[in-house]
Amino acid sequence: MPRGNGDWLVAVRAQEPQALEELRAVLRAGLRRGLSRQSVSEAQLDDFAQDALLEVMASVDRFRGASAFSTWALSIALRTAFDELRKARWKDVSLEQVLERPDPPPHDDALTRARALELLRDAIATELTAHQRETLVAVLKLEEAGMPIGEIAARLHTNRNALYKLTHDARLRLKAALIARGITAADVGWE
Amino acid sequence: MALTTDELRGLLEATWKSRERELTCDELLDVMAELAEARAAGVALPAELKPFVEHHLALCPSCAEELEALVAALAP
Repeated sequence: MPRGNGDWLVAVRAQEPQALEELRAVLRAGLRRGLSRQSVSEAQLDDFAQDALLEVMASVDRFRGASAFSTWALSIALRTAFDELRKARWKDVSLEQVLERPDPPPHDDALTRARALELLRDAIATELTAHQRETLVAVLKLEEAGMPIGEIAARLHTNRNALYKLTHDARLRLKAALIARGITAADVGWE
Repeated sequence: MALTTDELRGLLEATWKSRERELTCDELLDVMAELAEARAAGVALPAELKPFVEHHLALCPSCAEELEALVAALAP
């Protein structure tokens, strides 16, 4: 009979060996299904399941009970596994290689959009702190090159959550600056 | 290091659509299992959560990829 959420919580918190072995098997099977589009070996699945088990044990108090425990544990497992896969995919690419790529030719912009872009360029220079500006520009260029946010965060010596917060704060400052300069939804083309 | 026009255009869209309150990647992870179970069951997301989730997923390909994988893992 499958374990219920309460049973899983008690067993994982108590680090019961049988329960942890069951959970490792659940995570491995779920990782296999969830990563079916990725190129992942059996040995990697073993490693991902083991790493995920440790991560789930460390994060167990974040489980809110809004889903099955196994689904929640698998969400942690998939983030852990994707972090590793993305890291491996980008391991031979330096920041300099990406940031110093030649610029592609720009698309044509309508006049009003061009004005908004010019004001945005000005706001980046005047409204952001140097740290926000340097980080935001690097993030935009690296994302444009396809680098995932977790990998960008690692290269910039921060974490994914902190990097999202920093860019969010920067976007809010820029939006306020655009509105203060008279830009409207009609100018940018989005509601 | 200057932004290209295309990068500025992407930033303009993301900036204009920015909200005071947004989910971070960790906050999205906190609700990801609930989202995946709802999607797998064809159930609508809670109305108070939906706009925040959709906004974050539009901005964060990594979280969107992880959610898609979780939904795939739940498929019978």
